[in-house]
Amino acid sequence: MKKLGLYLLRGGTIAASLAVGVIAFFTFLQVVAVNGINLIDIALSLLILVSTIWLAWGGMQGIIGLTSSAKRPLKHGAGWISGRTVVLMPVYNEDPLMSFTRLAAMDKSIKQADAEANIHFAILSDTRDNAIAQQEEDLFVRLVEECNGRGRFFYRRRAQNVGKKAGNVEEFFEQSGGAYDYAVILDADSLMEGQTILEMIRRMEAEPRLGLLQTLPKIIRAETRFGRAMQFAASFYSPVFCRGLAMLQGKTGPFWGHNAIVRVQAFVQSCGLPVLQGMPPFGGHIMSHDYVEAALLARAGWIVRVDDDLEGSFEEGPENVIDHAKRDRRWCQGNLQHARIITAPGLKAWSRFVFAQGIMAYIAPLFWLVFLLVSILAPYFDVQPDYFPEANWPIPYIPPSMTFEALSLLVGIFGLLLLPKLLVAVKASLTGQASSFGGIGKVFVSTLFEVLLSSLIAPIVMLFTTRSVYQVLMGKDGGWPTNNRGDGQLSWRESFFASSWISLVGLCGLLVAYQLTPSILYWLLPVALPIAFAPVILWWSSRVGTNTCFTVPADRNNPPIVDLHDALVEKWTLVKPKELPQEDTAGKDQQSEGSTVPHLVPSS
Amino acid sequence: MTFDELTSGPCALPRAPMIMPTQTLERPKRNRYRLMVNIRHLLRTTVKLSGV
Repeated sequence: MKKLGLYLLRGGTIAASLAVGVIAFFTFLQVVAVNGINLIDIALSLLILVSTIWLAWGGMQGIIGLTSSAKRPLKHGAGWISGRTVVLMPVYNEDPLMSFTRLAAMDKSIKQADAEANIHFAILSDTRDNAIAQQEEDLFVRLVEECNGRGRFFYRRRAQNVGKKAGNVEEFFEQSGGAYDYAVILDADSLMEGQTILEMIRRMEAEPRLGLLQTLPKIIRAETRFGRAMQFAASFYSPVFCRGLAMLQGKTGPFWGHNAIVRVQAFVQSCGLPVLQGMPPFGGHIMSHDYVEAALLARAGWIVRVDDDLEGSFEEGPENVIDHAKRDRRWCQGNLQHARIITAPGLKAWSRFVFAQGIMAYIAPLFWLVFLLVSILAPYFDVQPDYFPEANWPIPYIPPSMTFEALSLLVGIFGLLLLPKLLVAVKASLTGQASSFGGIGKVFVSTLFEVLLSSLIAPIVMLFTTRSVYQVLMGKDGGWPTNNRGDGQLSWRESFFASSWISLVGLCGLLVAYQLTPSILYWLLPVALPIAFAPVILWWSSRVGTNTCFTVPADRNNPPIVDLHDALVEKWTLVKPKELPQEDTAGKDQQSEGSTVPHLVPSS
Repeated sequence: MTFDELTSGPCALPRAPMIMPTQTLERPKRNRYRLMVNIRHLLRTTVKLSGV
């Protein structure tokens, strides 16, 4: 019965999205074909069809999220946790001070929760930079000292970083997986409340078929205009869209690579990733491994779930458009690579659909770009209206005006983008949730500014994405660049060099449109102007604003884990690390308990 | 204790190996050459049997 409901929901959502797309298709066809239909009209209408279906699909998720609430997870006690858990932090040329203090903060937070649980921490370093590796070594000593972590905190650095993050975690499981029942997988910028980690373990214990439990990480510590808008969106809209996603996916949920817990046995049995035939970007190691691991777990019959009711899960986001584009370049290559495995044997239909969705996320902007280009050229292929269609009829036939239909379509498409966000603001106002975002007025102002800012940035991101897709299709591997986790403010020079080509494209586009089809110039301005002024927008959006909007709950009440982390960073920055004392009996006890496990558990 | 003492002692990863079987994600490529050989063989046999 549950399955039937899920299939009906999925089917209904897909049907509704298709219906919206078809309506847009025929409305547009009506507008452009007023003087007769040609091939260009059909091509433009098809582009509108695909793009609108994609927008409607996103909007539907928001509507489902707004009209549903999280199911209560299976009952679980608050007492003794029998399973052994390891918190894994893979690092790659990250700032060790920031990442190691995050682990220390999480350890303190777990201790404060006063739960009896056997939780270890492992730093899995893939760092290539020797200077950073030296810092890691120094600060690891400090971390062990700070947390009294002998036998609970582990560090290892790989000689070869085969398979990148997935290979790093895989190597850990092959070497030490048998020592643990659960593994919390983090990113170097992840931060989770101790209570959240404990609750995740309890949920795993309560449901033996649960293979992976994903949380929805919220962005913290954003400072710049772009960063704060992303932080607001992640805090305000994302839970609603995530709820919608959770409803649609059932037991075939997502894995976003971090801030999640896996059942070690399930992961080891089902997630050994092969190296794809051929060379990167489509062959070689799987880049966006998380989606694939979620699909493999589901293929093996394990439940994969996102529990959007779990609070206390945080990460940091990019602070400017360039960092966002760099990250997107990596994701783009990873998602397009999924085209190779979408037909993998035995996958659940929903997993295949998720792969297709991931690919579409990077292809969709191209449809809009092609639509704009074809629109500029379209008038050259237009059929001239026939004012005297009937012979010997003296009164000319004037084609009807389609302005109303054209405007309706424009409003409809923009509505698909705006309406779900607006409804989230309305719901937050009605439920009182708005107060933690600065009050009803501020919520609406923030929503409005977020929509405006994302409308300004979307055309620029569209061109960055187009370049990424082009590079991947041309076989250029993006490699594994380190994430930039600095303050994110761009200089004029950086903004200009990163986006001068975009600006040039925008100016050329405007010039060509002015020469060829001045009638549609005004329609192009909302897209062409942000592109032409890309360096200014990049620079402006990377500056620290006055913070009068984009208020999030963390601005008023810092999450306890963030406070703990801040305090530790300050303490570690002030006092230099020192060597641990030579002998410590307690440490010895922990060593025999934790670091050498007497029984070896090979997987079947 | 120094870093080396820690990571070769109490802070060395526990040794509890597991075998992580590599999963199949790609269908094996059809051997086109082999297919052509088979087709040619089939055609020859048909021709022989038909007595042309």
